Amino acid sequence: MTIDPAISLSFGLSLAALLGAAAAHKIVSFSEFVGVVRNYRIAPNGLAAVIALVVIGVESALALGLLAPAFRSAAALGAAMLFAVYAGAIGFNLSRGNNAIDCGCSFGAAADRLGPALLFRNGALVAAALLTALPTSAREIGPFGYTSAALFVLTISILYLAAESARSNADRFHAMGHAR
Amino acid sequence: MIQALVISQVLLGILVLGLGVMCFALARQIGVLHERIAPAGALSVNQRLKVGDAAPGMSLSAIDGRTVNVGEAGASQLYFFLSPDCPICKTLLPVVQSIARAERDWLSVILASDGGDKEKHREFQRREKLDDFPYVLSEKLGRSFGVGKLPYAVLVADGKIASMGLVNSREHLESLFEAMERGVASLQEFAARRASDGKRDHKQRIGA
Repeated sequence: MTIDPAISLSFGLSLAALLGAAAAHKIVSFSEFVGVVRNYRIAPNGLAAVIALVVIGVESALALGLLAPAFRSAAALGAAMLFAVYAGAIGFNLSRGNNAIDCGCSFGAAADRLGPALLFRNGALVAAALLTALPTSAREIGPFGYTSAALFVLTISILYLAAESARSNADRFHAMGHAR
Repeated sequence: MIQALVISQVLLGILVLGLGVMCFALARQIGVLHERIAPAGALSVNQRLKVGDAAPGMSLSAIDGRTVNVGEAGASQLYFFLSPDCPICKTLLPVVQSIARAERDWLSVILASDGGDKEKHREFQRREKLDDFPYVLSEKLGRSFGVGKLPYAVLVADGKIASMGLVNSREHLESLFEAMERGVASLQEFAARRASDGKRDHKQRIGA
């Protein structure tokens, strides 16, 4: 099974943008991110900083890998695994009721709590990454293909941010209604 | 033909991008609104009483002769302090009446004013169709409840002050009930508590 190179390019660049932005944000607010890792209560507190560094390293490496056509497939598989690991960590904390923590996955959005919506989101990200990992058919992309890919990346990024905003709003709305 | 399709495709792409930007902007605006809209409540200025205090007990007779036992144990009462020559009081009377109707199975509404010509108050009560409510004239009542400005309302539940404040709108009056239900002295306190909760959450999150 193969996919068209333009689709692979579009998805690959979009995932690269997401992972790159995520890593950059984690670097900028590193101490906050260490706190987020600690709140997940999965590893001993002493390891939180190490895990935070590893996460940032992996995200940056995958973002760079997705940009290079030669590594795109492998990096996409790695991204799929990373998103699945995140979903696992979120699902584990949801199942033990530790949901009043920052997911640390939405560029520091306010009032961002863990919720089932995050599992759906990560499922969609895993699917997108797996699609990108498929081998591409041989076809020249051409200027039109590149234009389309660029528009796709911009549009999907802004829609991703809009969806994240809506999710965070829904959380706040929920918090309002259940404050009594 | 192909060229036309390419052009239309690119134009459509740009339009969809524009829609996405709009969508994002709207979602962000809703987020900002969530931050800005804090619950508004009645201004609770009172030097004499605190929420939770026992309501001052006294027995008064209303202008129509009914007896009102202020601060009676087990009774839930809303004291609405008004005056015939306070325009805001008048605009709030329909609200008081609708609250009295809606909550009549547990709450009795008492109108209170002081001084002046008793006939004037009686005329006011008739004109505004307030005959259902005991209307008391007592300076002592206002003083012991620490009423400064009108219109003022005090909600007493089971003989204790549940909430009180200067009420200028339906929202303020309803905030007294809201504050009672949420077990806070005022909605301002509720908002402040939520804000400090938020800060604590944040500190917890960043591990400070």
